[in-house]
Amino acid sequence: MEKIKLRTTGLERLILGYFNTSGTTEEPDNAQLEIVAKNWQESGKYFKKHFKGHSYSAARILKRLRKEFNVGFTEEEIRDLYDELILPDVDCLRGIASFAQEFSVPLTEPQTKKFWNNFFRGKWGNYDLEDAVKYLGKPDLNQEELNYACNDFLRDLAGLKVREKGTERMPRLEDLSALLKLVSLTPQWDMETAGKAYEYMIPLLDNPFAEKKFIFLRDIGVSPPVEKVRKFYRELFARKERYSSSREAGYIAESLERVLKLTNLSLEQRDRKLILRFYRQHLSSDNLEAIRKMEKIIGIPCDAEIVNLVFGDMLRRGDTASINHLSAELKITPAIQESIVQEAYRNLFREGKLDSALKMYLFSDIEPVTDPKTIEMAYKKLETKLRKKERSCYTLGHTVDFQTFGWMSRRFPEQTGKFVKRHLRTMIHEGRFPEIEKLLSSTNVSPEPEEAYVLACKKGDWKLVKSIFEANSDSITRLYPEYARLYQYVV
Amino acid sequence: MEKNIASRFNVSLQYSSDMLSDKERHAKRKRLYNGNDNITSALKHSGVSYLISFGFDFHFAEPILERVTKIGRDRIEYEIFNGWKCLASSPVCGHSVLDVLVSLRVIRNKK
Repeated sequence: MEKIKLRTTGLERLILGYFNTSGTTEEPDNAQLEIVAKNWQESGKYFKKHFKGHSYSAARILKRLRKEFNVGFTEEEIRDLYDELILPDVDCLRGIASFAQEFSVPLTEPQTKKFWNNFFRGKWGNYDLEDAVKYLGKPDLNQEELNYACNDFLRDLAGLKVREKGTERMPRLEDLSALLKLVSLTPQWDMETAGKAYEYMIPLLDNPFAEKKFIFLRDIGVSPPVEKVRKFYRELFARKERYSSSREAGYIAESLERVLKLTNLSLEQRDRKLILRFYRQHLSSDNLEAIRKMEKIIGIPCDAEIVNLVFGDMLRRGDTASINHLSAELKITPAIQESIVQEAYRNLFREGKLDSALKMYLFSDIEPVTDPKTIEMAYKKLETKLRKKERSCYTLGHTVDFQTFGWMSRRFPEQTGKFVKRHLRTMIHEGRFPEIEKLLSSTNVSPEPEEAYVLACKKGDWKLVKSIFEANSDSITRLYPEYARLYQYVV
Repeated sequence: MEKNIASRFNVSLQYSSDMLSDKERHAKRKRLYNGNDNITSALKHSGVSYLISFGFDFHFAEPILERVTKIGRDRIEYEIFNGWKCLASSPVCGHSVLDVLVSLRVIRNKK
């Protein structure tokens, strides 16, 4: 009973273990192989049935069976196995190579023909081709077969070839060159597929790694689809910033240069607007190189009119540092319009950017003219910023320079005074006394009696402490109870 | 116009004075105030007042740009550059002192 089980299911199961589909093939131990060898007549059938797709392991096992257990294989048996191996799969090549090397049994002519047919229908590459030629000799392809192999490459380029998931591989020109080197015929290209390949690859026009493929398509006679190419480069300009502005500008300039070079197209008159917009968006001292490159590629100069518009944009944003850097690089003095400066002040105050407002003043020598509400808004925005930054140890001096508070208090004393008085309370609770001193001296704001009392306590001005406490004991006790308790020691 | 703008700046520069005797340092200071090198010469040419100090612990060919202030129209002096506060990521770091002075509009670039 035991013997029957082994011969019918056990032996097959044993052989199945060598070729499991998980990819981790067991190395059979000697005792197992001995059983396989002893029952080779039976096990050979299972072997033939299950080794497909595992030809490398199969060759290794057969080698051991022959060397260690003296199992003899006839040429006929090996050729039978070749028949099972010749599948449209790269693995078949490796299997055949392993078998051919080990057993020195050449393939029959029909098998060789079938092999090459399957080979060019599968996922082959130049290295596979070199190996196959090494073991089987050069493929003897007729015009039709060569056309099929070459146009299959085009189908792959055009995305028409269905690829198995997880095994996607971009077709490589090296593969095609390796094939064309082996044959003396010239392929007849399917121009329709070639055209489709060009269209399919248009999104890669800006990719330096795809450049050779476009040159190849051009060389075999494909004309670029003009409208689609134009659409592609116009989209380049509209692309949202993926990198920092400086990298983006350089990237667009380089991409446009590549697209125009590869397609041999020149820009149309209507593209002028795009280019001018590009200059306006990207002109800065960091991007000068990219702008110069663009000027050289397309021959549209970034003239003084655009430079002034850019200066205006920078001014509106209150970005005086960029204006300084750009004007130093271009050696152009920016024209400063008072209306734009006032617009910039409004924008900066709305965003609570007081330091930038002072920089704008020092840059333009123009006084801010704005309504009290805007200044109140600026201080509220600043307070929000301070609240958010408190956790990451940012303090008033880090957020806004004290000289800025001085400048603000001289122009907007009421609003600055209100802000300082409000913020003093927070600063006292946080114990930031050195900052309080700087803030008060830069703004000349007199603190409320409660805060003045605390500051007098800090300075040890007991005479002042006494006089303030006597007049404001209730509010001091309510707001600063710990400092209020200090009073009993003073009296 | 150019002179008017420039004259409202004050610049502090620190030069290296390693291995210099007091006498040599005094002579160097005198030469620098006369516009001895390209930086002081540019500042002098633009009518910008500048202050020279000496440091012993650096050996750069260029001075350190310590501080630049500007007198605003309100006659108050504002600091517009402080070399000690200048972060490594700041665009002015890595540029020559003259470039920084040009970008701060203290002096004009030669056309």
